[in-house]
Amino acid sequence: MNNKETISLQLNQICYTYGSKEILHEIDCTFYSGQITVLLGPNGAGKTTLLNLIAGLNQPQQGTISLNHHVLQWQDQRYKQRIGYLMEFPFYYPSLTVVEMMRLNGGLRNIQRGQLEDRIMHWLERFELQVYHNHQMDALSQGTKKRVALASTLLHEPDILILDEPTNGLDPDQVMIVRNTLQEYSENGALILLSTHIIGLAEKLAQQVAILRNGQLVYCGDSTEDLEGLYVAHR
Amino acid sequence: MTSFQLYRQVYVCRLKNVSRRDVLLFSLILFLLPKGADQLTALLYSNYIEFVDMLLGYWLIGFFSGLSLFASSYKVEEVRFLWSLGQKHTFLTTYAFLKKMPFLLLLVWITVGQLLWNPAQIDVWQWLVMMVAGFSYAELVGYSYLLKRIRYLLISTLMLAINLWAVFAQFNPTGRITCLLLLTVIILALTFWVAQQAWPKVLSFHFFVTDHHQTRWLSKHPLLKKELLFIIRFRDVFPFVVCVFALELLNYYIVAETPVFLPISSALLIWFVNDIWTVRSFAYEGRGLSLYTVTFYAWRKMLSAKWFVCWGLGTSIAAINQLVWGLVLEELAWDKWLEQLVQSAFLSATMVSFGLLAGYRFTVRERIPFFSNLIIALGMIFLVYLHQTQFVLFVIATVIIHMRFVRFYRRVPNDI
Repeated sequence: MNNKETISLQLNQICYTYGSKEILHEIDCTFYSGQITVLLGPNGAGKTTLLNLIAGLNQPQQGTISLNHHVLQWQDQRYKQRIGYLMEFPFYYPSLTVVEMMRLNGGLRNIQRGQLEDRIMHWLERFELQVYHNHQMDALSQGTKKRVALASTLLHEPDILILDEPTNGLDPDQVMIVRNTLQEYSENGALILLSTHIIGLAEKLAQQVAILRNGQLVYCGDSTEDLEGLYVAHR
Repeated sequence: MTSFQLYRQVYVCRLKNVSRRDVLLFSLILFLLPKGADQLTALLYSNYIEFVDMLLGYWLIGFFSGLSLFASSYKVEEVRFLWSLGQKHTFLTTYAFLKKMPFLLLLVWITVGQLLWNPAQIDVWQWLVMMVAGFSYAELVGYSYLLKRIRYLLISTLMLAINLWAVFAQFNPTGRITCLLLLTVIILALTFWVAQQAWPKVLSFHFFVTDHHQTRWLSKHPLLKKELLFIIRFRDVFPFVVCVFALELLNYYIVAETPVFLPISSALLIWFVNDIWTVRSFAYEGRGLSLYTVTFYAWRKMLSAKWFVCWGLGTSIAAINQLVWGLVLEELAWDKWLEQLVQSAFLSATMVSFGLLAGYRFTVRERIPFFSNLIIALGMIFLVYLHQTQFVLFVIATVIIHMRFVRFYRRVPNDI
């Protein structure tokens, strides 16, 4: 990850429809590196869809996504290489062990073998996963699988980190580890965008907040101390 | 990492966990399969099947196998996962094809392996390229279907016409083989092109439940609705249709001269139903099975729903088989048909009880391992054999199975 380069990610009039149902309507927002932006909203607001669009999994029907004011083509490989995306329900191969799953992730990101092993060890220690390194993925609890997925997302040191409900299924200790890791990662210059419906977590992490309701961005700006009040005010 | 390396890491590495006994058993089956194919070929030729029919048959085998595998092998979550890691269409398409390779290789072995038993069977190579052409055409159809746009459907139709021309045209063997190999290459190239458009569609796949303001009858019977929804899943219906097609084709050539085969084919249909649905019914429930272990009432309701739906399905399919062939052969006697219906119902009841017991016993982490499936299938074939040839023994087996099932029904198992 390049510690010094400033990144800004602009969403300009993003609309997304599936069939006859409008999921997102005219989303305008800008996210910056060195900041954690938390995407808040009730279930069904369109948070996951928005994150999927930003991560390049889907293409908006209207609007553009720009990186440093350069409009991105949907399948821009250089952009994809800079992203780490953690899905709400991460995919895994049940018969692989934790280390094998991480090696697979790293291999698909073309990380050199020597470097990959070091990074795997680093992130296993960071997320306290060493004891599980030889366990099969389908034998793990949901929280542990989530931590493995998060560790895998960070292997290639992405500039842009997109996390969909990263703390779902984690116990309080694990939530603290994830929080501290994300804060450090952001201070190193990464652009972090995460969604959550837990306002307490958002209050501790967010420098910027985006509130989504019924597919519309009702607020996008600086976080405040009274995030709950801000959220309620935009009902 | 290439798609082959990913495939090797995810699938091929699992082979190291297979026991030596399983390897030996599988090797024996592999050795015998071409023998079975060779005997079937001889039987078909002796029933005035022509060379063109064989070519078409092999093409259909390749096509339906390919289509069935296409439907069952792509997982939206896996596609999203690989796409999110920056993999492109070519990677996804190649990887999707690699996942089907073992099955294609099995079909190739069954076809070419006939030479071991009948070295003079020179038509084998034409059958092989016909089957591979059908298999690759299935890939093109699969991706075209995902896109649902006229131009891709037209391309598929054009390729189908060319495939059929290759079947019926008067070629010498070398000419046909060359033509089909070229056709297969063209189809694969087209597949890659169509898949490039199809993957974005797969990525945006979403399941929205639309509101129904009226409560339908089935909504008032959710257990029954759930079982019916399990039955109409494409991944199960498709292989069932393929099996029925193959069996009815056999009936077409055999039943007129050997009417005794008709009850056997009905019994085999009951076997198919139970092997595809009954045995897997606990695996389908997944973690939802815990809903039914809360009370005896819930457990029995669930088991009853499964039993009656599977029994009804098996019995009615067997009855329709008997009825249709009775009409076709103009030999339908209602008393005989009723007698066959009772026999089918009896067999179906035994198979369902056996299938539910076996399915519960062998389900591991929401799936049934391959060799357990094989054991269950052998058990069911044995029941069919007893039903057809040793009725007294069949009755004894039925009593034992039902006694065991009643115990299973009356008590919620501890190890769900």
